[in-house]
Amino acid sequence: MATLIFNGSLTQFTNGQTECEVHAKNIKSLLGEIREKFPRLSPLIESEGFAIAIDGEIFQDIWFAPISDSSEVHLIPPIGGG
Amino acid sequence: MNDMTQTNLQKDLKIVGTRPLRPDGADKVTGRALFGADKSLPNMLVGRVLRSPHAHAKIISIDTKAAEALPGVKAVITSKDFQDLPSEFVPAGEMMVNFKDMTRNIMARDKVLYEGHTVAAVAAINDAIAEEAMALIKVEYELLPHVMDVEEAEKPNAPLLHDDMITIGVEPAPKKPSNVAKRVEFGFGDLDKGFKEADLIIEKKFSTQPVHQGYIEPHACLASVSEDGQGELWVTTQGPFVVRNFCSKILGMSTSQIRVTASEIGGGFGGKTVIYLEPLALALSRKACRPVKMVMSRQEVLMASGPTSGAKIWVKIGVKKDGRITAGDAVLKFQAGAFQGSPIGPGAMCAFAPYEMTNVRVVGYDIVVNRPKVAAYRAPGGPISEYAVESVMDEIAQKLNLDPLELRLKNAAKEGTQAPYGPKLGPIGMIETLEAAKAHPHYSAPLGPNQGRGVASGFWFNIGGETCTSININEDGTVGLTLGTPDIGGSRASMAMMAAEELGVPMSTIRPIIGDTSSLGFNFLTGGSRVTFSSGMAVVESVREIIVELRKRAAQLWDVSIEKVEWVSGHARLVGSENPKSLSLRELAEAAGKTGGPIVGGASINATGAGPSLATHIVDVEVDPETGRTTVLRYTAIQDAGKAIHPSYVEGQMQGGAVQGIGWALNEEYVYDDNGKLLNPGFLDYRVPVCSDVPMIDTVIVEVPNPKHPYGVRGVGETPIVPPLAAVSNAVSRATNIRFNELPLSPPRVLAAIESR
Repeated sequence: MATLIFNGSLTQFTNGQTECEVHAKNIKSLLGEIREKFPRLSPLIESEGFAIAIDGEIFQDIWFAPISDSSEVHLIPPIGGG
Repeated sequence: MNDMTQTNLQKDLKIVGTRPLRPDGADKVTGRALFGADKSLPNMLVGRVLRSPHAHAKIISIDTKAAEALPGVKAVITSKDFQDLPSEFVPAGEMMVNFKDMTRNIMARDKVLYEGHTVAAVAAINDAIAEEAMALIKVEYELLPHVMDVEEAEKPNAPLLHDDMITIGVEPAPKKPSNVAKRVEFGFGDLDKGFKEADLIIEKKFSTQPVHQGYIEPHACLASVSEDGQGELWVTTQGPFVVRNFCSKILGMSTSQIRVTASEIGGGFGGKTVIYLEPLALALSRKACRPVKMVMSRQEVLMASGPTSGAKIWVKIGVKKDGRITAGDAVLKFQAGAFQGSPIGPGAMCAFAPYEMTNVRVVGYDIVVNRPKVAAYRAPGGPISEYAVESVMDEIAQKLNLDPLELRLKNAAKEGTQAPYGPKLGPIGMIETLEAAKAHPHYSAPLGPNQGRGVASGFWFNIGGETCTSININEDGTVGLTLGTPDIGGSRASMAMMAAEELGVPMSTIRPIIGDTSSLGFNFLTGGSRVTFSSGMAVVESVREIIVELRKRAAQLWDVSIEKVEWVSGHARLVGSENPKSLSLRELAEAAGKTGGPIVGGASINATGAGPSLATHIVDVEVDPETGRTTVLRYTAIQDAGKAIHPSYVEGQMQGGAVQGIGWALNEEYVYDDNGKLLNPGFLDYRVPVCSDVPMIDTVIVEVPNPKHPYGVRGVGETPIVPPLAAVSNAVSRATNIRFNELPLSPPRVLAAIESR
């Protein structure tokens, strides 16, 4: 199972949990799993939008990026630029 | 998502990495290029904006009757002409924007929130009548107290800009509204333990001023909405598709009803990722049933279009005697302007990103104030937070008697480093830029009296995103390439070069254009240093697809399977035949009708795998002890580009970013009076650097290839504005032997510090 890691202020919404194992094989199913396991995080994800980093590579608004059993996954704010 | 093999890194490149003339060069130097204000249509009206004279006030009433009755006035609009949209976040530039805020920013509804906030707009047959009409619009205001500074705005008794603003990111959510829109926090490790291990701890407060992107071309557009509701918009923008989407939402039109064409653009730097005039021009045109052109004056640009945030920053860093960082902590308070959405997220994520940290925390606050809503500006947020960290790093180096580059090398992030915002970094060039800086003759050149040398490093993520291109093989074998990302920094040249390299044809046979929103699928905007990376990937994919089609056509003509045909140097060749056969691109194009019709291709991707770009800058300054004036004597910018497709344009980005950063460091600031009125809305008083203010910016391109791009490209446009703030400040601090922690380092501020020493 992949490891989902929560950084900084996100832990407020996960009862202090800094990481958990996830079954998801892609980002779409990961988002569903997060909604189920951490319902307090959902409104923040819905309103603010989040990017997902899988093994260091950042995916923005992409649902079907694969997540492997050994993956390390992070939720981070969306990134843009000027 | 994309899976592009990096087949070209080791290839003997013929075009990529060279410096051909840009395809748009002749038009630019002869004045033929058409910018935002250059387009006209028959029966065109002039659109003008009536703006708030107050920083914060309730709108009691707006009476437009007299203006509407004036002969020559064809339309007047106010907030009544726009639907009130619910709160809904969408990505724009570096931040999520909220349609409720956007519709209120383009036209004030119940309140004005900054001087220059739009309250009405008119369309008339000429400027004079439009001016007269604006004077006839009667707006009754009830003045409210205003707040300009983040530390004042966060106080419980501060004037409240939005009575429904509950701070996001705090659990449990606050019960009362405030001006603090959002709190973010990143980090890991044990700060207490890290600081206990430190031999030296430096803790400092910093402040930076909001600065404008300073694009030479003001916002301008020409809208034409016909009687059947079909709209055309010609506009200077970084993102025509984004403009189309925003305008259609605000005006209640379908996406297909608005066709947006991006003009040539006279600078954007992030400031043209949002909308101001565009929905107004469309609404006026819809009402008047005539084309409407709108162009901002420089005063309007500075009063009412977004600068980047001003900020208050607190930084604390602990180090061992040998310079190894044991802990880093920071609090950032960013001005959002009148509506939420400062670049606090990326600013906080970048703060310590150049370094390998074991114990780190960054807390950030997005705070609304009575200033224009901020917009993206190169590496949004990064220059501000990294300025503070890099200033403390320099002070640490001085206190420990360490070389500032050695201190950075000792702590440099590298592949596998866990970034302060969580994920592990891929291959990056921090160490390589520091080594290049150390080896550069600039770093060991002697300094004279009152002179100082500063260094600083900088990090920016870079992005990918939705991108779409199309490619057509013309009847004579030349190539049409249509791109959806406006060309701000020479991207047409870079795209043509990659296409030519892949196809094996001269670059001169490729004609790259920027398509309008009806000619391509959605493209995210030009921003985030994404174009050479993302559009480059789409171009390469398009060409590879078309090469397959060309091989198929040749196979048909030779009556062999496609596997028997290879593509070499712009020709289809029969593999392994005793009788060599070859067909040029021209020959295949001429036979296209007989082999299946026009040869066209295209690619649509959501590009991922953008590699961060790191930079290290060196600057020498001389400070006049009698006036406090700082002269930049020498400047060297060193940056990892991954692979420079067109080195001249990479160097141009590095030089431009450095100069804008020098302006931010030394002179640029908004001066408001006690009533929140801007006192310097012009380039005479808002002082951006001009050629005579800066030396030639020397550049060194480092190339640590990004493994996720077929040519190893990283974005380069954002990062070069990150190091200059701290590099210049560190140089001034070393020249004067006074530590500065406020920007800009304008002569009065520097002189006051010298005189109070």
